[in-house]
Amino acid sequence: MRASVCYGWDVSSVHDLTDEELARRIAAGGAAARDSEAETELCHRFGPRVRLYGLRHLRDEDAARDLAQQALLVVLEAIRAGRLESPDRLAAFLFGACRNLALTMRRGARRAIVEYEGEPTVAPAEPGVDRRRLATCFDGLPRREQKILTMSFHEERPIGEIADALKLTAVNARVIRHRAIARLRTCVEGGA
Amino acid sequence: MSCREPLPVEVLVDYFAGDLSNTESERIDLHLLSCAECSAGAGALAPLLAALYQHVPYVLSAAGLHALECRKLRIASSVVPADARTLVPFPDDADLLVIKLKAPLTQVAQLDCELRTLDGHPILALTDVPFDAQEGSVQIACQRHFLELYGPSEFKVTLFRIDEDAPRVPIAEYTLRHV
Repeated sequence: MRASVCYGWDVSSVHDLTDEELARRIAAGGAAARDSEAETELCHRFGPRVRLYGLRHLRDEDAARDLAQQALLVVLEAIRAGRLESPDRLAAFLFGACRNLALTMRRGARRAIVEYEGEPTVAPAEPGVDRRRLATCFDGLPRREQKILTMSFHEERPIGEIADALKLTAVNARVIRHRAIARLRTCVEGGA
Repeated sequence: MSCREPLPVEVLVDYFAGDLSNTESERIDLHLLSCAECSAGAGALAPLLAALYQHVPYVLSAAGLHALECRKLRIASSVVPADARTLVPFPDDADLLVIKLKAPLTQVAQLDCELRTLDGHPILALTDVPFDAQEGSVQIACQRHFLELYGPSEFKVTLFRIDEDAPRVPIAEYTLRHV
């Protein structure tokens, strides 16, 4: 059962703390006297960043949210238990947790999200991209741009290989890809 | 607080496309976890790129089909000989139906593909589609939501051979009924 959520607390008093100060404040509370305000701020601050890591490495919105939930729990437990030896290295510690969890999840061992009573949870992501809108916008791109995006993202081929296949230089292929993404973004967001 | 080393959009695209070395990619992982400004910029781009990763093209290359298989999608397939008229059922337990159209393609350099209703209304016109010349096949990817968009229907698919400075030539036609 969800008892508290990142976006449900007044975090104004901890908002200006640095990451290191935040970690120290959570550590001072420990596991016995949890500092919910500080924990919520940590979750609020790092949740979207970890979800971003998940999108890059797991390529799926739901999996990215699972990763964020689990990674933040790992980090909070470590800080409360005094296992984060250098609070100034909070991001590095989080990175290690993300990397290990993503590896496990990529191997197919995706665990169900466990939401313990009293634990902060990651706020839901903003609504994702409308897939049908994306398809319409994608169809409107020049064929060469479609090919480069398909080969880059759908087929996961390296840019050098794509450039060879399309008889372009890698620099040129990158420029075309960048232009295509800019066009697609404008269209998907309701521009053209 | 503003970032001393803001990540350019081009680098973020390379990062999300997997075009950076492991060392550079990990440097950016760490930077995005520690930098509010850059993570906000990347956060505006990432959902689009993640959606592109999941965007299935109408016609699949061998690499594209392999990528979908690796993602553990449930893929049903149906092989259709050149100029056939046939039923291509979309099984209930499949995420995707791949229709493999057979055609003589050994001498073909470029191929277009058109889908039309039986009375000739265009559904899709696809230019320069991927194909396997040696195997003589073109792989059409039908997604479940196509059934919602177009309904169970009969349609024609025509493959056109494209040669430089010459009119395109139809090389095979198929009449398919989706259910």
